[in-house]
This record gives sequence, structure tokens and C-alpha cells, in this order.
Amino acid sequence: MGLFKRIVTEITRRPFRTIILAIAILVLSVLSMIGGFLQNAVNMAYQEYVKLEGYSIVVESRSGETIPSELIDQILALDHVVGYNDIGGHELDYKPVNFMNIPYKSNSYTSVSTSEYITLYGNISTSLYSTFRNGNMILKDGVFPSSHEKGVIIDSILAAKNGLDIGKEIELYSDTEDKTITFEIIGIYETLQAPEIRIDNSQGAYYTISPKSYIFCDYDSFFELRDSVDPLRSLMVYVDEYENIEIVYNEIREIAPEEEYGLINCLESTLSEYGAVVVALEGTSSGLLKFTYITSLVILFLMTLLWMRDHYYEAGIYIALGTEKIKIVLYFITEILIIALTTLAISLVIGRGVIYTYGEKILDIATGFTNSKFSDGLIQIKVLDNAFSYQSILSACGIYLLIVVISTLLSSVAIANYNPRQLFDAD
Amino acid sequence: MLSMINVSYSYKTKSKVDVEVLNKKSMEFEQGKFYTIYGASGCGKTTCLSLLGGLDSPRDGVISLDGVDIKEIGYNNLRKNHVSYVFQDFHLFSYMTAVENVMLAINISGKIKNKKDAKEKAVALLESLGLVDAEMNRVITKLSGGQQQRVAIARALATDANYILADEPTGNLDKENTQNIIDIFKQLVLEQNKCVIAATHSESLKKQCDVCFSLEA
Repeated sequence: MGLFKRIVTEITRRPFRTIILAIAILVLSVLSMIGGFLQNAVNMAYQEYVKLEGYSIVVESRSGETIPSELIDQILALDHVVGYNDIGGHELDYKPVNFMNIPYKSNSYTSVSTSEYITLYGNISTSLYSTFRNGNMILKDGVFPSSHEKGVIIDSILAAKNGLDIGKEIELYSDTEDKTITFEIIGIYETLQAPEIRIDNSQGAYYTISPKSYIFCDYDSFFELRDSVDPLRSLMVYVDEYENIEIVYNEIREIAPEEEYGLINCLESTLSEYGAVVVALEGTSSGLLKFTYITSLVILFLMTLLWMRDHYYEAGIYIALGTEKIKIVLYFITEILIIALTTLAISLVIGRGVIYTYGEKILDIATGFTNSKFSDGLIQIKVLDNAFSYQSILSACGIYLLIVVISTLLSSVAIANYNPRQLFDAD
Repeated sequence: MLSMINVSYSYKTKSKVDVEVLNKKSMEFEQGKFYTIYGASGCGKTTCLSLLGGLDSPRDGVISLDGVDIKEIGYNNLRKNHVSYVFQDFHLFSYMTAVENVMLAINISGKIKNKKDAKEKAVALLESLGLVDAEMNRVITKLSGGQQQRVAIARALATDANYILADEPTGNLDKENTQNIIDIFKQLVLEQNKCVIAATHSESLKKQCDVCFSLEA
């Protein structure tokens, strides 16, 4: 009888204990997958909130005076600062003259509203605008508009449908000022995730895809169009990584006196206002995972000890026949691994099904424990869409496998050192 | 020659009391002879076999094979190549057939890697001990006590060990089967130059051996 057949025979000879062990592994591993799902939800939500604020710090003049350029230069010279924009949303709607607006599309929506207008955005650093910072839009060709590179960048589908390209010109008409302006196209961007706009109406607030394509121009040109200049009273300073926000915040505080300038850590502010649930959920999910892993370790260790207890007789024979201890240990580990791998494969299917089907319910229960909720439904939808991850599920399975192997290793090493007589007597 | 030289052995009970089983015992076992270690229960017969087979270590003294301490030979090596066990309760795998039980020992010894050759050897051994085809391919639980003990002996011979350590080999057998087993041991000693060492409290075994070591509790 070959080794594998021997092992399978030993497993099937004790169906009750095999099933009990398998159920224990199954239940505990599914619990850990749920914990992993919640942790992923936390990370996803956190990332969404980070994206909202783009790792930024607001610097605001308390007196309403223009922020001096020397201070701006000092801030830009700090490590981890990658640029800034005027915090005011400088956007205006224009009617295209020599082309048509092409609305954005998204896979999430079946119908998309449209508009004959486009929205012109003026930024000091277009590349740091949230849609580019978050990777929702990427510059495909050309350059970003700036004080040195005057012009506009347009969406790639807008360009394709209208036969536009770098070097060509677009004309925009302003209803309010009754004038037409011309811009040279200096770049084309690709939209990976369509921008959404918040609509507030009597039925409540909701998000929808922007019906107007965004055209980005440089800051100076935007105000030239309006024959005006907005004084720079508040800046959005961008940091390279969200881990560096605190450092930069403190450095700016040193050079921008508190009595003159207000500072806001946008990420912290967003989290405290909208993301308290994320912070609370993080505690719940990591608590659940720790509890599950520690309990599993104890339960599985005891169960494998019991399992090994049934193998005293078998181990006694192997020792009496001169089998090396390492082979005895490997034999028992192989036996347990067969049970564990089969069970974990089943738990993968069950865990996936549970999370897919009941993910929202699980999240509601978990947030219920934290006595808080996601105040932004869109973030909850995004979290649910992306929190399921095969990687975290496989990690949970991997950890369980390790726990099972360690438990078996410890008990089988003990058995391998016994005198067969003791093992036969104990059996 | 398998030797036990000035061996002492003791163990601790559950209440941590030291119980001395053997005190400076010396015995020698030569191939081509049938030995018994005779005595009442608790006198240390099984302990002697455990020490001779390297399943336990003496507190004092040396166990040697052909002048070499068995510690140096290695306990696993000793049981794979030089000594084999036959137990009172047979201690076979109940869900395997007679042939499979013997093949397991061949497989563990590593002497024959080829499955077909191993099976041939197993069948030959079982045949030499009086088992027929139908019996060889039966699961152990379907065999009588006498047949099971033959299978256990065949397993012990599978590794070509020269020293067979038999712990109360006839303890669970009737008179007829007891004599059958004794005859088998004698045959092994005479025809194959094996050394059979049987720990027993059976008078008939004691009377029919070549050398008897008596132990007292």
C-alpha cells in the first residue's frame, strides 16, 4: 500500500474526527476571511478619503490679504511638497464653437446625461488637480498647461470625436461675457475614471457622471479671459505621500505664523468629519482578526493533539520498524495537510460566496458595532466593490495552513520521541 | 553478538517514585541460538527487549552489537537492519493485508525499492511461514491469532535482521498455535542462523529454548 493510499485510508477510517477537524478549520478560516474583508474595506475607504483630499494642506490668510510670493516660495522649497493650487475652484462653463461637447462615460452607469457646454478649469498646477493626482485622468500626449506653457489640454474622446489634436485650436464662447476665446491644444488626456459631480436636489444629494467634458487651461489664461485677477488668499499645498502630511504641516506652521495663517490638514479633517467610521472599523476588524487567529491557534492545536492521540498505535509501529523521526513527523503533517488543503479549498469557495452575497450586511453589522456609519454612500459603494480581494483570502488560508502545520509539528515531534510500548499502552 | 553489559534501568512512577527494574545485568546473545528471558510480570523482560532494540536507553551500562555501542550504530539503523520486533499483540495495521504489512517493513528498510520485488519477497516470506495465497491477501482482521503472529514474524524477517526480539510472542495464542510459533523460531535459528530472543513467562517456551535467562522482580 503506497504512502498516499495509506494516508487516505487513515483519514477515512476516522470520519467523525476528520469531519470535526475540517469543520473547525472551515469555520475559523471563513471568519478570518470576513475579518480580512473588513480590513480591506477599511483600507479601501481610507484610500478613497485620501483621494478626496489628495494629500493636501490648506494655507489660508486669516486677514484675507494675498499670500506673499516669498511665503509661497518657502513652502515650495520644503521637502515632500510637490506643488500647490489656488483653493478656489476656478471653473466656468463655455459653449464650444468649433467642436461639440462629448460627455464622459462610465461602466457603472447605463445612461449618461449630456450638455452642449464644457467646463473650463484654470489651475496653477493642473497635474496636481485631484483627477490627475488620483490617476483618474492621465496625460497621454503633450504637456500640462502652466505659466510657461499656455494652452489647454482636452479629453482624448472629445479630441477623437471632433478631429482635434495637439497644435489645433479650439474656440469657446462665454454666455456671460458674450465673447469668443481661442486656445491652442497643448495636450490630450485620457479619462480612466469619469469625474463625478454631486447633485443636491429636493430628493437628496447624489452623484452622477459629469455631463460636461473638462478642459484644463493655465491659471493666468483663465483670469485673462475674465479680465480679472483673483488674489491668492488660500492655497492647497500638495504633499508627495499621505504619510508626510504631518511633517509638512509642522514645517509650514513654523514658517507661516499661526496668528496670520490658518492651516488645515485636509486628510485629518475629512476623516474626522466623514471618516470616523473608518477609524472605528479599523479597530473592529483588526480586533476580529487577532481574536480569530489566537482562538484558531489554540483550538487547532488542541484538535491536532487529539488527532495525533489517535495515531499513537500507528506511530508505535513505525518507530518499532525503524522509521526515522523526521519521516514520522512528515507523514503526520502530510495527513493533516491533506485535510487542511481540502477544507481550505472549500472555505475559499464558501468565504467568497459569503463575502460577495453578504458583504454589505457584514459591513453594516461591523459599522453597527462601531456605532457609526459611512456618511458618504458613494464611498460605501466603492468600498464594497473593491474590498473583496483574492489576495487577502489566500493570505488567510495561508496563515491557517501554517497554524495547522505548526500544531501538527509540535505534537508529532513529541510522539516520535516516545517508546512504542508507551504508545501501544496509551492507545 | 548482541550484548548487554552491566545494564541498570529504572523509571519514575506518576508519583515520582524511582522504580529499579534492572540492576547491573549482563547478557549475551549469539546468532544461531534461541534465547528466552524468563520471569514473572514486572521483572524487566520487556525492558530488556526495549533496551536491546534501542527503544530505551539504560541508566548505566552498555548495549553493544558486535562490540559496537548501539548508540554509535544509531537506533533507527539498528531497528532497520539488525533487530526486529515481534509483539504479543502483533501490532499490525488492521486495515492492510498480510502482504501489505510485510511490504511496509521492506519499504521502511529501504532495501528493496522496486514494488514488484518487494511484493515477491513479502509473498515468499509469508509462504515460508505457512500462509497461502488467499490468507496473504486478506485484511489482517480476517486472520486468526496464529496467522497474525506469522504475519508479524514475516514482517520481522522482511528486513533481514539477524536478531528477532519477540515480546510474549505466544501470549495470545492457543496451545497449538503456540507450538507452531515455537517451531518457526527454531527453524529460523537452525536454517537461517537467526538469533531469536523471546521475553516470556511461558514454561513451554522456556523448556524449548537453547538458553534461558531468568529475571526476578
